[in-house]
Parts: sequence; C-alpha cells; structure tokens
Amino acid sequence: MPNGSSILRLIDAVLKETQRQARGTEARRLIQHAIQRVAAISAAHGLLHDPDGVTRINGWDLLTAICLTVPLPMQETVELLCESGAGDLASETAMPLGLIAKELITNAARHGLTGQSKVTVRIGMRREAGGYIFTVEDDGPGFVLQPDHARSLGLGLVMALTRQLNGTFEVERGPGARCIVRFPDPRTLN
Amino acid sequence: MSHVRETAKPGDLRGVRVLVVEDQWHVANALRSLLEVEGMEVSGPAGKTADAHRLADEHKPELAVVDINLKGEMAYSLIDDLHDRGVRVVVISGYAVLPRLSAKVAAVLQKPFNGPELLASLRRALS
Repeated sequence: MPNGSSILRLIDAVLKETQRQARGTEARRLIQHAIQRVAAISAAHGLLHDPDGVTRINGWDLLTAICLTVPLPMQETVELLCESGAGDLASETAMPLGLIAKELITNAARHGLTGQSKVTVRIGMRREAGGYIFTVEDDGPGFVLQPDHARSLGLGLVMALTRQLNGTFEVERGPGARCIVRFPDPRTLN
Repeated sequence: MSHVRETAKPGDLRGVRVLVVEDQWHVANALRSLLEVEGMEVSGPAGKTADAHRLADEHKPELAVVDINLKGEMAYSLIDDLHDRGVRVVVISGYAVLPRLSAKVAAVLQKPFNGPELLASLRRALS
C-alpha cells in the first residue's frame, strides 16, 4: 500500500496536470489554491506523521509541535499563546488537528489584523466528557460562520478534517472569533 | 571540522551548535526544523540519555534543549553532565513544577510553548 507521502505527491502531480489543461483564469486560480493546500498538508504530514507508529500523544506535546511549526514570519504579527491540560490522545488525531490549527491560525492572521498591527491567538485543548475540545481564539473582529464558508478552501478544509475526527466545528463571535472543534476519543468509538 | 562562528552577533543563533534531546517524535521533529531554519547546527534529536551523551561527545554543543522525561527516564544526570561540559541547557517539560532541577539549567520552558519563546530562551542562555 502506498504511504501518505507518495499519495500526496500523486495528488500534487494530478492537480498540476489538471491546472495545465484548465481553461479559464478562475479555474486555474482555484487549482493553484488547491496545490498550495496540498503543499501545506505535505509539510504537516512530514512534521506530524509519526513513522514510529506511536499510538498516543500527550496534549501538551501535540500543541508544542503545532506551535513550533507555525512559520516564524507569521509569528511576528501573530502572538501565539498555547494552553493545554495534561492527558493523551490518539496519535491519528495529530495530523488532522495540526492542519486544522494551521488553517485557523492562518485565518486569524489574515482576518484578525484588521485595525491592529498584531493579533493574539490562543490555542487550547482539554478533555471533556467522552472526548476533547480544541479551541483557537483571536482578538480580531471575529466572524459568523455562514453556510457558504463550507465552500471556501480554508474553512471547508477545517470542516472536512473535523468530520474526519468525527467531530463538530462551530464559531462563537465575542470580542474576536472563538473556533471550537469537539471530537471524541477514538477509544470510545466502535 | 571548525566550530568557530565567524559572523555571529549578540543574540544571533546562526551557526550555534545545539543538541536536541526529546523522545516525542512530533516535538523533536518540529524542534529540529525550527532550529535549522534559524541557522543553528542541530545534533539529534536524541530520544535516550545514552544517545544524548554520545552526540554531546561527537558534536560538542554549546546549547542543549532537553526534555526532562524521556519515556520515563529522567534526564537529571544528563543535565549535570552537560553542565559540567559547559553546555547551557534549556529544559522543556509538560510538568509545571520540577523540584529537582538545579541551578545547572539556563531556563525551563513549560509545554506547550511557541517558537519565539524557545528562541528567546536560547538567546538568553547564550548571552
């Protein structure tokens, strides 16, 4: 069976060939976005996929890995604060959560800087009954989750990855945006 | 092999030799990637103290980032040894209180932490 890296390389090649054949500027632009997303997933896969097959990862280790993989230039305008309680979770959640965090941090960096030179992003994870709650909050203007957000590449990917975790995604607007991913512990699923 | 840094400025981590001791693959890989982007010469990651001792012998690090708990093996004696070699040690741990840590460490960072926090600790340790 091919491994994740070879599948991602194959997807990248297919997308690039599709882009080469695409007619129309908008189609080529959308495919280019998809190529960039696949590149981001490949990068996260390389950093967050554990080749040793470890089955459990501590919450604070996962959040540390996520925070360390946010590009430093982005961290000049995004102050990242990470909070995690103790407790471990299934390692197969590492890559989806890492990608979700990356998308939400990128989203906060893009939209949270409206009217301010720096945005504070708090990433948190803790246990709750039967599973986990993962949050990404920013002190930007906030936004309300609309049905058409599912069609946007970034939030659409967040929703797809959340489904992969058998979880739910919601956004609270307070001051800023509070994005909440709830997902069960796979050990509790049959 | 020369270990002399020719262009280093105060607070500049480029070319500084750093040993990474971390048993958790995700964190170890992310640490190595971040420190290499900063231009540091990274040895490791070592997941066991025996490997860390060997890498310290081979690479003569100036700094070390050490997870205190390596799959149940506590790294206190490794920290003592690195200190005695003149290596400045930044300890990383998920534990809030580390009662046995001595004055032999330059800093303690509690997980989870971010890249700028780690780099600031390393710069302070170096200065």
